[in-house]
Amino acid sequence: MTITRTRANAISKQYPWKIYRGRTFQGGYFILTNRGKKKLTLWHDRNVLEWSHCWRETMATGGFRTVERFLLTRDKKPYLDLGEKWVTATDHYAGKHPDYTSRRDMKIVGKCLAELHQSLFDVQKKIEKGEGLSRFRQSMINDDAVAKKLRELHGKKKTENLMNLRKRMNRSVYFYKKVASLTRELPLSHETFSAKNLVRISGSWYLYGCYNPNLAPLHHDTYHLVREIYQKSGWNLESVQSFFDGYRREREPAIQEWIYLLSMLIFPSDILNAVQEEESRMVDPVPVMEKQAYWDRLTIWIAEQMDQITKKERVSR
Amino acid sequence: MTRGEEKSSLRFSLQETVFLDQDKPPIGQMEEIQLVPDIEVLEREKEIRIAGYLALYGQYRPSDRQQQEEEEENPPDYQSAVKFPPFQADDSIYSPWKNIGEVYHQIPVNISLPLDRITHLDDVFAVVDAFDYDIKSPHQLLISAELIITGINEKESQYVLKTPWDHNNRLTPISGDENQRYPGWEKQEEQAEQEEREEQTESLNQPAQSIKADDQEPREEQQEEESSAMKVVPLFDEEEDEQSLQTEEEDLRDKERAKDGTEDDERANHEGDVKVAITAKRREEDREQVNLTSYAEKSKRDSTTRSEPDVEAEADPAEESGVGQSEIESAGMDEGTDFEDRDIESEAAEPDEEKEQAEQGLYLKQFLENREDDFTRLTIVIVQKDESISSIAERYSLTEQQIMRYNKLESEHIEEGQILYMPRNRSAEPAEK
Repeated sequence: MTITRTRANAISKQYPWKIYRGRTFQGGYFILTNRGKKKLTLWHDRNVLEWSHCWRETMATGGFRTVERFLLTRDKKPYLDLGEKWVTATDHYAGKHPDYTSRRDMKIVGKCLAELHQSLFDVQKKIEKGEGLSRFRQSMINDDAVAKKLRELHGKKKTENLMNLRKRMNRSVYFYKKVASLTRELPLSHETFSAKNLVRISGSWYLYGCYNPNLAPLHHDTYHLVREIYQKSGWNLESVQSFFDGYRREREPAIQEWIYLLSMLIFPSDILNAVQEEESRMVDPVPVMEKQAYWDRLTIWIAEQMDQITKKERVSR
Repeated sequence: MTRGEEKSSLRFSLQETVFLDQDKPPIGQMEEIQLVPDIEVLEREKEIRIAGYLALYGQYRPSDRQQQEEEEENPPDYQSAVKFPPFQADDSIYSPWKNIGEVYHQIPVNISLPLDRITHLDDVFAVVDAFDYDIKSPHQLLISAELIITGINEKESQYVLKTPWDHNNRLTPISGDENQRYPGWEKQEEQAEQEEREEQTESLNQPAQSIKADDQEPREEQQEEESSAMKVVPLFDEEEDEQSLQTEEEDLRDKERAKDGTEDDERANHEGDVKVAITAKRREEDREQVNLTSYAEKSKRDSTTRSEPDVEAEADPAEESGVGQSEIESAGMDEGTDFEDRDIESEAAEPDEEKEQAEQGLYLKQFLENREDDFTRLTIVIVQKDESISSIAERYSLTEQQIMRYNKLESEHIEEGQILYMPRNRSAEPAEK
């Protein structure tokens, strides 16, 4: 189901504006109205939609006024029910995305994510439990799956690299097991999050997007965002440092959260995918291996931060 | 070749211990191993030099021992817990994920032979035979093989192995006859090494002298003869070789004219040339001093040869018959081997033979200009589980029949662990032994 011009006209009748013209985009419809540019988005899961609406409102009411919120219908509802699908309307944001090499921008990205995470703890209390989101509580690291994968690879692959792969996977599982209960306790968040979910408009940073997300326990988004910042800053750890400075200024993660993040960073998912795809000649594993050296560097850097945190905690005790 | 033939071969036994780097995975089971000669046969001023190396390529399935090592359960801190060895993203022809350990090792080869030991460079090949290996330890392989140099004149083994072998790479001549003649071979090797260090432009007497020093009394007299024979055969520089090539071409043109049958006399002369030249070469061969450059000889050699009447002129039927010396040599240049046969053939003077001579002459030129060696290499394949002759044949671009014939198999049934020899050439077409 997509939003067509006819459907957009019908939808707009539920909103207090008049459409001048519009065009489709992936998963939605851009419209120019008498009240400015708007965006209609089609949602496929009502639970996810309500969860998304909840964190936006929580953030906004918590003081983060520049978050994208769903515009209310004439009936003061945040979305339209089309039967099996749902539609939201938002203002259209156009501006400059954060610069991955800018320490200031990265601090802001960190601060925004921390505020989002903070709001998600509140969201969890409000709607998550028993609201049809439990299916998102599967961890990226599954002990049994790792063991199965290692068994599959054993004997098939070059020993040195297989050993390296095995060491990483086992170490990832080792840390994950230490904090496995967190995956049941931490609030759900977006599985991925990009710095491009922030846009600078008239000197203010707006948090927007995140439509129809896959959900995962907290810090999957951190994991993806940190890797994105590191890679797109040209493998610059200073940008990562700035991001965490911004994050920790707003919210200090517990050491268990750090361990959870570390376990994800250790897990050689890129390599594993490349190995599987290499068998069908779909990907050259060599560049992936070269990239893995950077991920290793990032992981060591995170571990270094964790060592400093634990050292401070010991001193403070 | 057998000893009964006019040409023979030199055989060198080789034993080489190959140590794997410690960062390589330990050897569990060899999957494939081959010893490929990468050897050039070079004609030097006074000698033939067979130089290069034997390249050992191996693939093995690593031992599981390393895989079973336990992880550190309680790393002291987070940093040390996440420090892993990097993945090996080498860009070799093998996938970085292929579970195959690789061995590569070079065994230097440097053999010097007097020119008279070679009839024709085309006949000289370096072939690896009787290749075997033994896994001494997970990081140590013992390689045994025999290096055969083919195309060596059988007559007298007065060659000198100027073999500055690497100390780690000892080639020891064996093979019955040669070994019997030179039981003190190692001593000779050492002497040859010294000679190599002393002077590159040593005279052809030196090889004979070195043999004398070998305490082989029964051989001494003959060697003296050989050394005196060697004295009278001049050596030629590249310039002369070029001249000789030109002469060769001229002679070939002459032969073509003769082939046309325009001048019976001329033809008769050519036939005479061949005959006389062969006779002369036979005489040279008797002195163990036939060498390849003599095929491309010119007047300088003639004059030099004539200047040694005590050895050459008095026994030279060519002079006795009044045939010009240059003709003798140009005919001789086309001649390759097997002088007795050639005698008969040349008397018959068949047109095909002349064509063949022309081809040989052209090939010689091509050979000198741009020689490409096509050495046989031997690959050992250890049959893996579920492998069949057809799958192995496909992998090595061979036919099943070739593999069966080469390994003397009576049926296509092969078993895991069975060793098969793969005939392979550098050229695309596998060589049949």
